[in-house]
Amino acid sequence: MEANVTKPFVKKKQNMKRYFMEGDGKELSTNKASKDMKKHSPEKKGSKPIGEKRFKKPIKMRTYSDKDGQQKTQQVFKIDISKTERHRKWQMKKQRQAQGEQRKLQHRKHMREQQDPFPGDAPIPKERIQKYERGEHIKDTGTRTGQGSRKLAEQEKKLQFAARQAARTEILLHEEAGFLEADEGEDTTSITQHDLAGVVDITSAQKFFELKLPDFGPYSVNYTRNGRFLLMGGVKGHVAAIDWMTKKLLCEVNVMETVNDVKWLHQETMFAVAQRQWTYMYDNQGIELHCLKKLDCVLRMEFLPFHFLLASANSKGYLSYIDVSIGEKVAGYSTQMGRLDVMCQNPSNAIVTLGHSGGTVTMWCPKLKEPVVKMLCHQSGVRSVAIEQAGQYMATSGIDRTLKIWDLRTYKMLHSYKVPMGAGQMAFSQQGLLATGMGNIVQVYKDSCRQEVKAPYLTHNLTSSVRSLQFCPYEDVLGVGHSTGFSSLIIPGAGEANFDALESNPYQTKQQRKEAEVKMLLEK
Amino acid sequence: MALESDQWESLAAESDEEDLADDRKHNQLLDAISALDGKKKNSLSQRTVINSGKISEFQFSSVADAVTKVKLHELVGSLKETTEHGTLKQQLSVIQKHKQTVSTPLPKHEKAKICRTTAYEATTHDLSKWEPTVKENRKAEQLQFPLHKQDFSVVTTDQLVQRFQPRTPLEMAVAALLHGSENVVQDNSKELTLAEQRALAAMDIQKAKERRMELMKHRALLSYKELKAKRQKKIKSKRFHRILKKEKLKDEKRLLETLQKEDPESFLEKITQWEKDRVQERMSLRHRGGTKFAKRQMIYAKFDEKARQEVQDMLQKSREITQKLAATESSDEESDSGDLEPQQAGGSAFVDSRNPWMSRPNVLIKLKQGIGHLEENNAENVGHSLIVDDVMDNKNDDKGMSIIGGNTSTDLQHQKNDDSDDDSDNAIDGIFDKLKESKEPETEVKTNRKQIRLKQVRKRKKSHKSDEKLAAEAVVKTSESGKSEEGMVDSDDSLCEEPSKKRSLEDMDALINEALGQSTNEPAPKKKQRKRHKKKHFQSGNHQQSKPKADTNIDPKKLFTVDVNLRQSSSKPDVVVNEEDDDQLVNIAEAFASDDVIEEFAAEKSDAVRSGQPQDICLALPGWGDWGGAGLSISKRKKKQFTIKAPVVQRKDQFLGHVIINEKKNDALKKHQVETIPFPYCNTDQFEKSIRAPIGRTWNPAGVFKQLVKPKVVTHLGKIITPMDQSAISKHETGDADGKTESEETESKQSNRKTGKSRMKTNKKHKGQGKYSNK
Repeated sequence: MEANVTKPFVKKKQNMKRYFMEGDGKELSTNKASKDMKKHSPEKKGSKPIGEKRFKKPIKMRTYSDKDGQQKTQQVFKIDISKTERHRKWQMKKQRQAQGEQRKLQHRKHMREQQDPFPGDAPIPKERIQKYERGEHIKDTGTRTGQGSRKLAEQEKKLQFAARQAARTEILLHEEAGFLEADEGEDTTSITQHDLAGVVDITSAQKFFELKLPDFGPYSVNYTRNGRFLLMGGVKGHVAAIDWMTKKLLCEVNVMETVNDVKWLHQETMFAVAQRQWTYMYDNQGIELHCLKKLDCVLRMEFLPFHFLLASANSKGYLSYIDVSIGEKVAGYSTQMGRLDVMCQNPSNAIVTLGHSGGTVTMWCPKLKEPVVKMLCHQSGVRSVAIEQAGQYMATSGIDRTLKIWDLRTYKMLHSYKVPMGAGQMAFSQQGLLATGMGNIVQVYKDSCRQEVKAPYLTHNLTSSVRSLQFCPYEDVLGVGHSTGFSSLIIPGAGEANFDALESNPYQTKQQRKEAEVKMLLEK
Repeated sequence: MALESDQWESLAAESDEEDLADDRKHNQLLDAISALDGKKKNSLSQRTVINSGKISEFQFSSVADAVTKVKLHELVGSLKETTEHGTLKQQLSVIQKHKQTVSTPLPKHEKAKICRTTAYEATTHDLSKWEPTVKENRKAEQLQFPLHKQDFSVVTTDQLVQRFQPRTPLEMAVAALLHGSENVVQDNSKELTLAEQRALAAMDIQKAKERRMELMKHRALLSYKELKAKRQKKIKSKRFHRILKKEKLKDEKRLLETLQKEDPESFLEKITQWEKDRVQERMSLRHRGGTKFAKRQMIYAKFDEKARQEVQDMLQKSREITQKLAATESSDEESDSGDLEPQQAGGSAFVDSRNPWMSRPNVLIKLKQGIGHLEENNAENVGHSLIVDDVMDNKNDDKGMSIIGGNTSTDLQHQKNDDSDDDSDNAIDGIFDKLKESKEPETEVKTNRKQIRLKQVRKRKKSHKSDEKLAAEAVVKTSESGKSEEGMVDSDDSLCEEPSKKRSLEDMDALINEALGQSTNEPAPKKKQRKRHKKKHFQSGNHQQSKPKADTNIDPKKLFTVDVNLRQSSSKPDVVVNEEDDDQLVNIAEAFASDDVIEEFAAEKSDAVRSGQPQDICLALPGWGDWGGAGLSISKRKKKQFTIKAPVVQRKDQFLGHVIINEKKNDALKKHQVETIPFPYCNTDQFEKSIRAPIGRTWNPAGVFKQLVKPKVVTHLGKIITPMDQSAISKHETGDADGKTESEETESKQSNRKTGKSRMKTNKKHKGQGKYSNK
């Protein structure tokens, strides 16, 4: 009996056909197919009973005797494996896999054959390239020798490539400078610093702060070229250097002498302080490094970073240049124009500009004994001078309560404004905003050079009169030194939004600083 | 004998020598005799040439004599008589047949010259092979030495196999075996080995087909089996294994049935065995039905009532346990869910309060100041009051630094004033309307003034003052018209003008009250200030119309006539020392200083111009062609005649009256200037443009900078640079061809894969190379 059941199974399995016994319910035959059947037993899943659809015809009827000796018949169905649910599923799976494979292959082939829809480099607008081109191209590259011609042509190609590449790198300047814009009927002038600080994000709001230093003021201030560090010098001798973003104090000393001006040198490791008699240099720990006896009674100083020159103007009308890299006086000229307490530098060409009591402004370079340019700007004494970042515009203000904007390319006056009182201090931001300090008011004018402005962009009232002003580079911040301390004001749109880390990096590490110093010296 | 003959020969030779010696002696004797008569004999005669007509290899023969010419047949005439020397005779006959005289050899210098030219040509030819290489190297933008670069391409196995050649005897033997074997696939293109092919060919097609089918079937079955085994091995499903177990159980069951019928003894034995097992199972106290024991018990249950009951009990117990478990679980869940809600709610609240971006920023850094005020104020206006307090605390005697951050929320005063703003706004509008009315006559005055402006600076001051008067009147008028209104304006002014003023909440209240017109007790000086401010405020409106004019020649006097007043809408310096006095001073300075400042400057400029201008040179000599002597002047005509006029130099500032541009030449710069156009350039334009762009890192992107300063020659430290050898030429010559073949290969390889475009590219490469090789 056992043999009867098992034998055909073994045999038929080889032919890939399976037979099994479908009993009348209770007793199931013990072939392996029954297991399969169980697995898909429709009773459990509540679907159609087995044999209803799939097994249409019984191949044969088999009779066998029960344990009780009763004769029973069993239908034997032939089941085609290809028609089972499981096989179907398996087939589907295979098909899917094959399809996937095919798709993958097709995709690969497609990728191989695919043509770049945008072949070559991305096009650059002509105007943008033109911005970076330096003069016209060489049209005739024919020189006296073939080799020379070839070289010239090659060089020309390189220069054009340089312009294109420079234009292409503009894509990296993704930051944009923003400005305040007033609604209709409103005025940006009426927006206070507190309003601004309330609206901007936390980090920006922290940039509006005030240092109350009523004892040693008024303060002159200076930021480093990367805008990270702040130097303050109170007239009564208090000199402090801080990392103003983190408010970390680098050093704080009292020089016990009148401080006329303070200036960072090429990096945040050194600064110069113009004191009552001589000028001193300190390091960032506040330790005195040098006493420059050649610079006496200095009132104003300017540091020319690319030349490593410290230009200073003193109360006796003497202008001197000291090379801080070699520690030698490079040039010194007597201007014959009295006390020199108005000074600024042209950031684009390092020309030092002085303002004089006769209403004139003179421009100096260390190689010439006489001023390069002498301009009559005001009817009476000049109170302050400032030159824009690109060196195209100059702002002067005089005792005659006028503020004038000059075009330095033509030396012509562009605008003249009447102000309530002469601006004692002025400063241009990197984006061309002009800040003026008049008494205890700081006013900032937007785009005052290219067009006539009717009203200030922002104003801020301080508790005491302004002593010095400087916009912080790469930040929308204006630093104001006054009699009772220092105020840092938020001026939206003041700073350059994109910084070149190779040029001046606000996030400079110590190592980078060292490297930059060497590079600066080499380039000098 | 032989010895004797040798001796004879040597003797003969000796006798010959003796003869010669005798001759010489005889001659000497003759000479001596002839010398006796005192005449010196020519020394040349000492050398005697035997001119016997005989040809001897030891004697010279004069060529000039045709008779004495050597004839070959004379020389070798004796050969005819001998039978020996056959080969020599033959050779001679050949020579005689083709007798040609050898051309006279060229003089030495000619020969050398020819050698030199040929050598030169050969070397030039040799060297010309290098020409393209050298040219190429010269043209190259950069040369990296050593020029020859090693090939680091990875060799594939196929390439290795192709390259492999059996060398050792063992390898040879193996290769021979493999090569000779029919059971190894020799040709890669064919699938079957030779033996297989033959076998197939030998078989009947029908048989072969059947066999193949059988094989296929066999393989298929094998693979199926394999697959299934693999699949089953991988199955981790418990259910599947349960089914497997069930199957086994069923087997057992069936076995039991059969045993019961056929062999009751063994059946009983088995049952007792199971009983034992069951007891063991029970010891383990597992009550679930899924255990091995339970399953067996189930089988038993068919025959044993007790067992059935036990199973039931066990199941019951297990059910009980499970039920209990379920109950506790559900209770846990309930408690969990109960806890969850408040937690979630709390969580969100927590997040809100903790998120700094969501909360209202309150940036206030106090370093040394006490924060005592904080506690007094209620939580709502902490921020505002802090600010106000800080401003208040300005007078605190703290000497250290203190930093005040701005509060980020809107000012409290603005919030509180919101209600009053509407009312006061209307009032302010009213005032401004009135101000506008008073403005109109004033503008008329202004326009008049403009016309007279150029020369009357002082008059301008007056008109200014008249403006101010008018404005003041207007303000007075408005103040008369309604005091309450003015109060409102005042309060408003104070609000926007002086945020730096000390304020407290009480002050704020007072301000609000003021704004509402309840109280107007402002100090008088402040009012005054504000009035002045008002004045300026609307002066600005008038001044705005005037604009600076562009003039070709700017007169410094005209420079100071155009001013634009800035609208000082909301600010006015209030902390100014002696402002009134300052104003007066300024006025005085303006009144007196302006003219002489300008004149001084003009004088300075004319001086500068004069000093910069080259002077005329007068070459007129006094007394030449004229009367001379003291007191006599040169006539104007002569002066004019002999004066060399200096060229008029165009100054850069000639049209700018207010500017002096220094035009003195700086000698220090001179040495840096280029005087002549450097070598390869043809004109200044070329040269200037070639140096028009900076190449520094500061002005160029990094990549460009590298390109611009790329060195012509790069050498690597420690690498030996060998001189170029012949391979460089051959590479150069054949390089193109090689390249071609390579590209062709790649093309053929990729042709079925690559699209038209890429193929075009390779074609292009081809063309370029072709062109190059043609060169």
